[in-house]
Amino acid sequence: MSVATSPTRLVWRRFLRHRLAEASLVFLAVLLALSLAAPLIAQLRGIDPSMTDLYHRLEGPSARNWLGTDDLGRDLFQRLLDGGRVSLLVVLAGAILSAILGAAIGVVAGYLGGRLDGVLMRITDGVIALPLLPLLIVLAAIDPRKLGIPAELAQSETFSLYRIVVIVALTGWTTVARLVRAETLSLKARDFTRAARALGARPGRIMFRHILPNAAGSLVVATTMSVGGLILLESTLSFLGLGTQPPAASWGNMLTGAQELLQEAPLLALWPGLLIFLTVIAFNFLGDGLQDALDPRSERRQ
Amino acid sequence: MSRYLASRAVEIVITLVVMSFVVYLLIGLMPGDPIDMMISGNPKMTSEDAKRLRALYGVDRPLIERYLAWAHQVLTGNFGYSRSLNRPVLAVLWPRLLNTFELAGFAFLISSAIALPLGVWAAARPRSRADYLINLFCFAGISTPTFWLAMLLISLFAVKLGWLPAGGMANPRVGTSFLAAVGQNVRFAALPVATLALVQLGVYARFMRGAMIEVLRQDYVRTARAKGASERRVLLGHAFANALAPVLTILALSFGSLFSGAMITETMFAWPGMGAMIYQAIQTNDFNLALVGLLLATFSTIVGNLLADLALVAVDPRVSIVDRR
Repeated sequence: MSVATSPTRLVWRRFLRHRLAEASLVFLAVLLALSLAAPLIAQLRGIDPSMTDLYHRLEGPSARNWLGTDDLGRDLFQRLLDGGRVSLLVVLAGAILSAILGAAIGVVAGYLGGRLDGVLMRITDGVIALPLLPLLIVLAAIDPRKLGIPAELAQSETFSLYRIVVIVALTGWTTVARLVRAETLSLKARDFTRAARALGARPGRIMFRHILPNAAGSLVVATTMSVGGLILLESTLSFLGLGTQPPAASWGNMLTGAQELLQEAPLLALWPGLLIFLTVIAFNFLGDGLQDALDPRSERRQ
Repeated sequence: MSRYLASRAVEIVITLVVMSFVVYLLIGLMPGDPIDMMISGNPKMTSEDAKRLRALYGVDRPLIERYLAWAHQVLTGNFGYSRSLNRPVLAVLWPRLLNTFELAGFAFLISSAIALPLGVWAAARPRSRADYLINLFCFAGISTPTFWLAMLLISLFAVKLGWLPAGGMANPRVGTSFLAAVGQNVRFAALPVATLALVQLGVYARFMRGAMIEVLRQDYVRTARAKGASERRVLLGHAFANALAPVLTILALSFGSLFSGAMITETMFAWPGMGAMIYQAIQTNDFNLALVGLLLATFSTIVGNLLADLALVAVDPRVSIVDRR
């Protein structure tokens, strides 16, 4: 190679070599665009996604209802897009929150080291080893009014979304914290960090201005890889009736209703599950591709 | 050794104490309290009665005081009663814990028995078509929602084909021959075990592949090849034994998620296990049952981790307990 390539170009080129990751990126972009544009699409098609129509329930695909209708006669295609918007936004918000939390814990543990590091990592390992799901179910079932949150807010639809975001964040931070800590340990010994320290920079400045930006790569990889699992978590909680609350659609709670109709309308159970599956696998491929692209050792693996 | 065990025991106790407090706090935040239940069960109750009962049961006292009283009772061996089933919680939970062990244990054995060879197979041919397909299969397993897989399996094997029961557990009549009883058990366990095994399989196989690839880069593997050892011997004799140690550690850490998966699987297939019981207890506001169930689940997970760590020491002479401290 004679032309000099910038690191970003190099990463991008390596990423594109991972064909599944590339396809996943396209799939996720299309899905996100479609689900964000869902209200617009509904308007263009002249369909009200929340309108029930009991004369047209459980219908097969038609020119009007592309994927048919659900048990209340609502258009399945629009419901899927609406569900996708809720699921994706909730999980992405939770993942970003968990990245912030995990990065802070990881960089502090790795940089300050010593006893604090020991305690923080023990907690992280402890949380990883716990049977988390039952605990999260309890967390999802608590009554916010007992925490002093006013009743009208506690019963609003947005609150159930915020709650899921927090639950997702509380689950996702461990992976990020471990990876960022490992990265911090190696960056701590590098010359630029030592130079900053010699110039009298405070630990806080070194951690957040010098180390974290350089750990951004692994932070992005870790977050992307955790998103898949978090989507599964959100859909599971919603399926159990503890996540996104109807009438708001989410892929998980669409499957709750479909479960009882397995015999009459198996397709109702197929679509939301398939979308969860494809989205999760796309995020996992994406994370895998990013890891290969950002990991210098991957060059040797070819 | 005894020092190590002692420090691990202290760790387990601390984890359990912290967990019990957190869970106690969270359960206290769930809607309603035991007295509300009594009021709804008995319309004649006046507000004075409710107040008196609150004082009697100590529900009006501060949280920390209630927690300490509860902890004191537990330490004296009294785990209390399940409100919805009117039986001591331990008597309710114990048989269900065994059922969960049966489900999770078979799923764990089957998925490791398939995943470890798959991982080795893929690592031996990196970037080949087989590796690619195995990788795809693993990603598919990791990305499938457990409850959806359960629904698909039920609708295919129970509803459409009618080959297997959709849920429940075998309950052979008295006088059934041993073989027939085993057969019934297998029929009922097939779908739940398959569900749980399939979602774990991908995780295990990927770890195995990663560990093998790492080991196959080592100098001693090159040396073994240079000395003319057969590929089979290099893979199984030299590489696999060394790659197994990190994989075992990760398998041990996965017990918690195995339990979480079992919770969903049990609920979907009406398998009378701990996970389904805890979920039901939370749904019916059976506070004490949920609390003790969660602690028991945590306890068995941590003890499982400890046993796996000890097994690791037995398998791998490089891992020494003493210098890890």
